[in-house]
Amino acid sequence: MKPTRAVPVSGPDPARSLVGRFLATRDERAFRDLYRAATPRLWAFALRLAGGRAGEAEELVQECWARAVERLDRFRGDSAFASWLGGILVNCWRESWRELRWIADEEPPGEPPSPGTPPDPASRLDLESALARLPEGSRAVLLLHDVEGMTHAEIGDRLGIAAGTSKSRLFAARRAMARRLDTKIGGPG
Amino acid sequence: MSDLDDERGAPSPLDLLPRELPPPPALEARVVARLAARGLLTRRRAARWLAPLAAALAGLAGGWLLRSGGGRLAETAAPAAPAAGALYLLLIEGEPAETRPVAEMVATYKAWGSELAARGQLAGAEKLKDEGIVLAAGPGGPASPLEVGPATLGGYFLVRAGSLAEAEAIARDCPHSRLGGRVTVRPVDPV
Repeated sequence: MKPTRAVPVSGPDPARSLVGRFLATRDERAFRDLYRAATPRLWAFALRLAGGRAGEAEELVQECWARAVERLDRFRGDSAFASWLGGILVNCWRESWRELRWIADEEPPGEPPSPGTPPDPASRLDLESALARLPEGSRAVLLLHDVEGMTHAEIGDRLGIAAGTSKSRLFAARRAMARRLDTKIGGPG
Repeated sequence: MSDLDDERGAPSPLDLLPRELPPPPALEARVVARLAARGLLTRRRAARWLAPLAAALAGLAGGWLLRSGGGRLAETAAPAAPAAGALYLLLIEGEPAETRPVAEMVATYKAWGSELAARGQLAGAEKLKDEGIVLAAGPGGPASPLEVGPATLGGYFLVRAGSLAEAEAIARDCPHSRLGGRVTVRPVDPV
């Protein structure tokens, strides 16, 4: 089956020239241009990682940008700028959860979601709500895999877990999502 | 099927979610402030053409104008009775085409403002700060941080005039318009 969610970079990355312009001047206006180009995606990622808690997401984005600008001259353009930035965001998020046992908060894996669980009836708000209610670690794996298009090996590297653990968390996350969406759509109450 | 990435071909409910969401409007300013605090970027200085206006207003406030109530009202040290006529707002916008030394501009603004005040025609004046929020409906979201640039509103004068034509004449004599800047004149609706 053809992959549907991997996000390969095709064509020039528009953020790259903005990065170059900012590095040449370190000017506020150049940064604001870069910020406006890259933050809508970063914000969506941060808000979902934070389980919909806007205050936490704002702190994540602020710290992410601070760290990104600190090391911006090391951005080589091997990956899309959004992916590079997303990696820094995940690191910020991991640090914020280091003391909260986010690694051990998983639901046990059970039956997999039925193939092709149709998401169509669920509204976006239902999806966001179901996503926000996932355990932190499962939510991160699901986002990195299904939205960011990362492999389990990449996720494992990013989150400091085994690739097999990433896979089992994805399995559990999808199952929990399907259960919650089914309940929301057609379940009792 | 034992490959670790065998799920990537399966549909995900998250496929329906937008990849991008509009960030909170105030977040940009907070990010910029954090970067500036860590010395990671050079903050843009206030528009240079506004400096004389700010200095002149400060001078006017200390010498000719007195604060009264919640605003900076125009009252001369030897108070002039408010002139007859209606109120007109003079919006100081855009960068002037010509520049002059700051000290010269401060003196020019002071002289112009003091003369208005002495005639009882200056009812208020303020320079605006650089930061702010623009609220406007649009596909990009309801609000965005204010972008300071050539078209930015920099300050205002509230003057009394007998007619729109007289208000226009006052605006034409304003140092900002004499140097090629934009001044919008709007009558205050007394409703």
